[in-house]
Amino acid sequence: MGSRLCITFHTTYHAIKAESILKNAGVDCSLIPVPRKVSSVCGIALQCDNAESDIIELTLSHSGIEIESTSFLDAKDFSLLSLFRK
Amino acid sequence: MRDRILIIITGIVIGISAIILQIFGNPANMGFCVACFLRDIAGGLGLHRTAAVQYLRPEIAGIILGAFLAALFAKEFKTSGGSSPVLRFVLGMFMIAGALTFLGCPLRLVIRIAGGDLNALIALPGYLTGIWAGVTLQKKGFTLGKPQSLPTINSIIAPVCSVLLLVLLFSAPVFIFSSTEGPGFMRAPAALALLAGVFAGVLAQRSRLCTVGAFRDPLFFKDFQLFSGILAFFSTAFAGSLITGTFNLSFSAQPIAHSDGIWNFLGMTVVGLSSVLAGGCPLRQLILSGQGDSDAFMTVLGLLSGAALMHNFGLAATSAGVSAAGGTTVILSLAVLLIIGFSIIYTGKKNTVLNTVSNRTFT
Repeated sequence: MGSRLCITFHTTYHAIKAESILKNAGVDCSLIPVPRKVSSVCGIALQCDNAESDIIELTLSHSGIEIESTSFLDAKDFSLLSLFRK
Repeated sequence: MRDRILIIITGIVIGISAIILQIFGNPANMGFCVACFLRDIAGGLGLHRTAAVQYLRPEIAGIILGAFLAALFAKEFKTSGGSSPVLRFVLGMFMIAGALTFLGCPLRLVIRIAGGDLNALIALPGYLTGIWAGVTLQKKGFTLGKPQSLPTINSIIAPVCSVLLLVLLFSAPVFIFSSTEGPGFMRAPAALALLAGVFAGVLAQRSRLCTVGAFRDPLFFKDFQLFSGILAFFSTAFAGSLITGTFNLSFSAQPIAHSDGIWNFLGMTVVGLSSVLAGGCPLRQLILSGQGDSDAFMTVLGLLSGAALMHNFGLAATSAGVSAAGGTTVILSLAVLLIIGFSIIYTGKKNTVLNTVSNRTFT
């Protein structure tokens, strides 16, 4: 089990479509609200296992769905200063 | 954890700001209301001539400038746009048509419930229905398209317009309208209102407070982070109304409200649906405008223009209720929003089939 990966898309529809395509391809993934530290936009993102990143990239590329960004979902320490960091 | 704490702080601070603004002069249950404030600004600019609701509310400029400064400081300011701008303008017009039927944006919906206004409690399921309908359309394929990177000047327009509004407010030239009675005359001192707006803008940008996301996420993802911010906002406003003695649990005699349940419900359904389709509630549109999203500012301009039309054509609700023309506007708004939604879904599916058959282009 690798670390969790968060994938964002340019539109909400693409996130929903990506989930459906990846699930059909047997990839374990689910939709989540875009985490604040990933983006200031309140859309929908996809979380999945980093170990499957290659097949995800390939599957989405073949389906014509463009990935906006990918980042890891790791917990960060909380501090008052961190409130004003991205 | 950091995000959860920040959003709860944001809810509490905006709640306290709303109470303070009401104590110092804003209308009852209207400490913060993006729709009402934009309607007042439309009146102040002379875009409509309803004498009771004309004032260049500084809270709006404060929210945009607060979000602008917070985004700059956090290096999140990013110029984007070009994603169906005309449709976003139209969605903004429908959004305010619904809000001026209910008499409040989602933020005021929460404040009204916290003040004991049971009419707002009827409107809440309407708002949730609108959000549900919007997300369902998104699941079926609704999209406004991918935003583009644009020259920076596009994103500067919103903060510059906000500064200009403040210049007009404080210099008070003769061509600016200002109510001498009614809700538009009920106002906290401008400097205090501006400060409250800036605080709200900074915190809402950092925490990403959104009244659509607050209800969408628990319903569709069992995620309560954004909801916790709205809950904190509600709890603060509720405590404030109890402390100030303004809490009044009833349907009748509520400040700047009417008791037409069906129109309260359907008005907020229009707001919920148009907000999901446009990518955020009226507050969120202001925040996004401040952080460089020129599409969101198109929605704000739609809100402003829609407010003017609603008053010029006599469609906006009053404390007496909703006129037949106002009710017709709400029904037509719902119908047109659904037509927009399904036409985009249909066009998208048609294009997908065409691409698959002829182009096979992958990006």
